[in-house]
Amino acid sequence: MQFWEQLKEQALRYYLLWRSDPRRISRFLSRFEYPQTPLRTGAGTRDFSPGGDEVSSKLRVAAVQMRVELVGSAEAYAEKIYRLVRQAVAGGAQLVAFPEDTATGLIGLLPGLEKLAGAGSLEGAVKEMAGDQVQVADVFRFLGPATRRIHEATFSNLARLFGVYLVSGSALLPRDDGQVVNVAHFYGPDGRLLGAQEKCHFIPLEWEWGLQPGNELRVFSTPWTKVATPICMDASFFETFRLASLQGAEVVVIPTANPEEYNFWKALRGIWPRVQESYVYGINPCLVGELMGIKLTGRAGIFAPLALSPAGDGILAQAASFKEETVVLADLDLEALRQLRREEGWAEGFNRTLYEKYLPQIYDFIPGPPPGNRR
Amino acid sequence: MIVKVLSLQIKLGPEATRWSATDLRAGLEAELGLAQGDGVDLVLLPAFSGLLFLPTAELSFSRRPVEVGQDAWDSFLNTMGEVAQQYQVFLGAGTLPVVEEGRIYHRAFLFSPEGELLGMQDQTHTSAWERSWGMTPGEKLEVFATPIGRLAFLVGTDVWYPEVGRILALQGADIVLAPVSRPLPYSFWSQGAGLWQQVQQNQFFALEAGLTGRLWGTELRGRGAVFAPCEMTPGESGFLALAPSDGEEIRAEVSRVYPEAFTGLPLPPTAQARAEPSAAAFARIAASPLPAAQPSLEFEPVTAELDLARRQQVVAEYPLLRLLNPSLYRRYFPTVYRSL
Repeated sequence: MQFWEQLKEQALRYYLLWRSDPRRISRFLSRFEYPQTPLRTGAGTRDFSPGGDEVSSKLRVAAVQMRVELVGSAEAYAEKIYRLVRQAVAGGAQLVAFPEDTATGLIGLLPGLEKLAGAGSLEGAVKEMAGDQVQVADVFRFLGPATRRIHEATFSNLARLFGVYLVSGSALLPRDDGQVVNVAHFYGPDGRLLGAQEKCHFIPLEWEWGLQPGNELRVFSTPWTKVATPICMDASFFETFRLASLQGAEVVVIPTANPEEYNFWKALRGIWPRVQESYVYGINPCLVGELMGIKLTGRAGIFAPLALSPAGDGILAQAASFKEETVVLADLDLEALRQLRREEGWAEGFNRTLYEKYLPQIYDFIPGPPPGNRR
Repeated sequence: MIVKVLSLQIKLGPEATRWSATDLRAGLEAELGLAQGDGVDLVLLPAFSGLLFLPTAELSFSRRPVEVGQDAWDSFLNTMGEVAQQYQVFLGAGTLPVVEEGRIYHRAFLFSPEGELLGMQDQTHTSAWERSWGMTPGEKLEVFATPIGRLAFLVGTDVWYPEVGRILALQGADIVLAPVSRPLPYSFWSQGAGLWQQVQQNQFFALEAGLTGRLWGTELRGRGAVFAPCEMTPGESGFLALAPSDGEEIRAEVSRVYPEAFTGLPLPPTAQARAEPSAAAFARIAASPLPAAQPSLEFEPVTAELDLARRQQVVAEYPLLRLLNPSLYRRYFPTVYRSL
């Protein structure tokens, strides 16, 4: 019987790999139309290296507000992402950012999962499907190879075909050590993966799911500036943006999937104050809708220090709705940001003597481990 | 346990150039008499208000801050200790620029209901304006244990440096006192980026008290409020109380972005019924008549009740500090600050 169960599992794995063949995705996406963009010329690539082609200090960016849904095929996923990138590029975006859990809908690849929608929660569906011994992380570990192939092929191809920088939002994927992480990927306009960022701060539910947090905050170079892409809950803590800005990031993307009813004030607790604290631009793409009993609300937006926003409120652009799919666009003036930092004496205000006295030792006084952490 | 608090704003009139420290004290005592009748436990005076209570006939409006001499220093401390004892309150007695070993520090003071000086806190981060008149940042952050909770200060510009709030929170601060006054502009959004978000990412209570007026040739603005974690405030706004003079401004600014958000904000304190002062306080106020209306200066109270048990419940349900990632921070702090 055990051999038969193993055979069925192996057959499912091969089925998922067949359905996630990157070549299928590449062929599928190549059939769509792609406008010419400043980053994609008919002659080929531009020189983005330091000292290469001169680049404007202004960068147009897009924050995607995307509805979550179960996706049953690679083609359906690729087409969904294509539509939203196309909308952003039509608005002139040179960098397009997607929300947290962009790839989570690919759990729809599991045959029959949609029948478990009434379970009321993802962990409830997993329990109904596989019993108490299986964690949510185990499901994403199993699906990981297929999810990764679809997710990466989609974003890599679209970045190249549109000639734009893409932040793929995030996906729950297994690392080489088997730990499942919530990870965002950053692609260049030639389709090359520039880097990945794991989510470093979890909500209690993620600990209960058995995910693993990251322990590194990376920044990625573009011709305009350095960009960081921490994820959702990472923006609840100043430390994230401080580390990003001190490593040179002037733009920080926060892909978000917020599992609560929209409240203006609670939504104000994330990327908005972080932008004000660390004098960066912030891009906040949001996942909205409902999946497996989880209700997500957003209001995707693009934020700036108060003095660089037209109304002095730190908002460059924001979705009117917290639940409808849309794309939000804004121009980031990087030279204006640098000038503001100089005028405000941003760097001169830091008290390094104080930090050396208290950081990082003060974190020894954190009042307990994360709730739901089974480690 | 419920802790009743009073944040007292001070507004200097456009023609303010001199006043009597004696009359000013009488005005303060009138406010504290009423607060005592309401059972207030903790009072905060604004930034730079210490200058107003010095026993000098007029405030210097030169471009350098007043350097407090030893006699004036002693007089100030005695005055504030007496007031705290008389009205039986913990008193955040505003701030003073003080000179030690040739350096100017912006210092806040905490007095007990017994009139003792419990502690002092220097501002630890400086703005460009503050550096222009020679402020030196302090190098330590303290939390003071009291029967009403663990108290700490975020002085002035420190409200915009989240490192300070985090260090105080991990030292156990329950209630943070923020005497804040800064050059214009100081919008609602600036306040949101300051003390409001310090409270939200550390889950302590906070009082803000501001001084508004012209000082050292610069127009300063203060804003008054009492803050708590969103989950325990009207409309989950993070505000327990607002200064009345800020109310219309906040309504206009917030409503433009999201009209429904303002309906969650608490009514200005003046719209709420105020408890009758106790007979003893009333008698004392009657015996020392309120000074004649001083167009040059007025007080504006902001009151609230801090429910410590409710806050513990909020923290238990959403233990934000336990979700910090010390492994991440140890990798980069403090050396990453040297990258600039």
